[in-house]
This record gives sequence, structure tokens and C-alpha cells, in this order.
Amino acid sequence: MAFGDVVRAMVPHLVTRIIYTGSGKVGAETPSTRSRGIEFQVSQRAEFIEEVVGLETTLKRPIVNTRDEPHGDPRRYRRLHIIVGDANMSQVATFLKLGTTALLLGALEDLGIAAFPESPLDPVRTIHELSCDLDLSAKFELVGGGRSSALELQTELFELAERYVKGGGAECVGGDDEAGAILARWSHALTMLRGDPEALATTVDWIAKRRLVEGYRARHGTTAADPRLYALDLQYHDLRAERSLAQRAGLEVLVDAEDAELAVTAPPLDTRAFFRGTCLRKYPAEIVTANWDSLVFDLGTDPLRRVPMMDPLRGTAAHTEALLARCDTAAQLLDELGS
Amino acid sequence: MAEQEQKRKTAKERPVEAVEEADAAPSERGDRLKADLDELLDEIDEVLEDNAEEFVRNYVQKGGE
Repeated sequence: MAFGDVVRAMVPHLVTRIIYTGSGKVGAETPSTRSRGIEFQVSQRAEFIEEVVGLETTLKRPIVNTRDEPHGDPRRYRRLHIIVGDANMSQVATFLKLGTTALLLGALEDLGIAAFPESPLDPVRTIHELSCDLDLSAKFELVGGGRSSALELQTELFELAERYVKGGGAECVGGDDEAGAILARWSHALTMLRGDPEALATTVDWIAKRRLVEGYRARHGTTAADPRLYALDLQYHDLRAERSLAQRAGLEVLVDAEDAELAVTAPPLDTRAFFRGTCLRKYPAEIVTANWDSLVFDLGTDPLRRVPMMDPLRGTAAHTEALLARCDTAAQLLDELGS
Repeated sequence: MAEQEQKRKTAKERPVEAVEEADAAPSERGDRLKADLDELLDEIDEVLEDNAEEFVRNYVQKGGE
């Protein structure tokens, strides 16, 4: 798979998915968006995007980043580094952001680039415009002629993903249940965005946030420049429970609080995180660093011992639970691993 | 999608009731949403930072690599 094809397939999606993954923003932060006199945007980050492809992350930010460190065996894994996505508070928005993108990457791999719709002719300008297009009516030019709206392009991408899943593509997101859930929510979001966007105030962040901002403005009669509106925007994302506005906005919950709390200390069973997390819990004194793809142990004698974890799907509970259970010390573990 | 199919079935078997439901739904939903929003705005008034201007000025984005 040529990297150019990944870019070509992902750009139409990354530019237009903001209609359901956008987190919303009060006002504008760059001179060019400010000059539009915009009071609320669909996306937080869109206006900071300046390039289609590139390596930078803190200036000249691209839609597709070329940072290609897979944190795994580079002969088997690649990395798609995406910084164009907003910080979601809605679990459904996060689910859709990851799920739709994963399905389309699977479709690219199995169906090829020819199955994908054309890109916007000027993707950077288009994402800026779509972020300011609150009624989702804007049309933009496509490569090779023709025009499309974000909803039209998303509908094409949805239909492509649906065809892919029907043809046996569900595996790339974990199976039929997962693929079905992604497609159902994706389809629902597009239908509601078309006819009744307010119905998404419990699943789409920008619509939830806009509801709070508009309600607050109406109640207090504030101007668009009132600092309280900017505070409200920041506080929507506040992670302190006593300050969080997202937690009060009635957003739909996919992972209940108890499971989320548990996940802070209990690693998932089906990835290398199980090995890493269990080692950290069992042998905290002997671990010098814990990384995506390695653990480094200090057993008190030189050299430090490095345990590589180059395959994300090894080191699962099925692989290592018995081993970890019978090794009371890190030294025992390393002996058994033979490293 | 499953929900839509279910509704259609109900409408076929008991058409009159289904129509009444459809009529009542939008305004009921509107009232409920408004009541929810009022309650939510009360809460926002309680928890929103007192000095909004300073809160916004002091906010510094961390990370971003």
C-alpha cells in the first residue's frame, strides 16, 4: 500500500467527518477565521490545519501526518498519525471517530483506492469552511470536477464501508457486532444531521456544546465576545467532575463509570498491555521504564534487561497469565523468558 | 434501523394509536428538552468559574506533540 493512497483515501473522510466528530468551539483563534466574524465553529482544530500532508505537529499542522513510528515490528506494522481530530467528550463521538476511520482503512487495504470517492480539490480550505458551516449546506469542489457537501461525501463513504462489511470486512474492527454498531450509529448520525440535528445533542459534541452556549446566551443576554462563553467552552472539557459541563450535558454513555474506573488499573486482556500492566503491578521496584514496545528491568546488576514487545497482540492474558502468576519476582520472570 | 421497523409494525397493527403517538411526540420532546436545558443552565450557573476572564486567560494548552 503506497502512502499516497492512504492520504488520498483518508483526506475526504478526515475533512468531512467533523460533522459528527467535531467538538465545537466558541469563536475563532486564527486571524483568517476571526475575519469571518464567526461566533461558533463545528471543529476546534480545523482552523489550525495548514497542510494536507506533513511531518509537523505544532506548526504547519497537516491533515495526514507522516510520523511513521509504528511502536511495533516495522516490517509488519505501519502507523497513521492523525492530529486533525478534535478532543471528544462524547463517548459516541469517540466511538464513531475511531470506528468509521478503522472501517475505511480496512476497506482501503482490501478493496483498494479505486473504491474511494474523490477528494476535495482544496482540502485545507474545505475543512476551514466546513468548520464554519453550521447548517451543513456548504458545497466544495472535488478533484476531477463536480461538487459535494460534507453530508454527501460522508454518505458515499458510509455506503462504501457498508459494502465492505457486507463483503466480509467486519474483521478489521473486531467482528460483526462491532461493525454493525459502527454502521448503525454512523447511518443514524448522517440521517439526523440531515433532518433533525438537535436530536444529536446527546451524542455529537458540537451540537451538545452549541446547545449549552445558545441556552446560556439566551438566559443571560450575553454578547458573542463574553468571556463566560469561552469559559463555558473550556469547562465543557474540564476533567474535574465537579467542574465538568460535558458530564452534566446528558451525553449518552457507552462505557459505564465503574468499568472506566476499573480500566485505570486493570489492563485489557487481549493485547500486550496485559503483560505490561501486570508487570508494573507485580514488579514495580524492578521496572526502570515501560514503553509501548518494551519494558526495561533493573535487577540490581548490570546490564539493565530489556524485554521487547514488538507485537501488540502478544503478551495477552492467554499468552502470559500463567507465566506471570508463577513468577514471584522479576528475576524469575526474566529467567523464564530467557532474556 | 431496528427501531424504525418496530414502529412500522405497530402502525400496521394499530394504526390509530400510532398516529396519535406521532402527533404528540414532537411537542412533548420539545418541552422535555427545554426543561432539561433549564435545569442544565441552573447547574452551569453554579459550577461555571466565577472569574471567567481570568480562567480563560490562564488556560494553557499542554502537550500537543
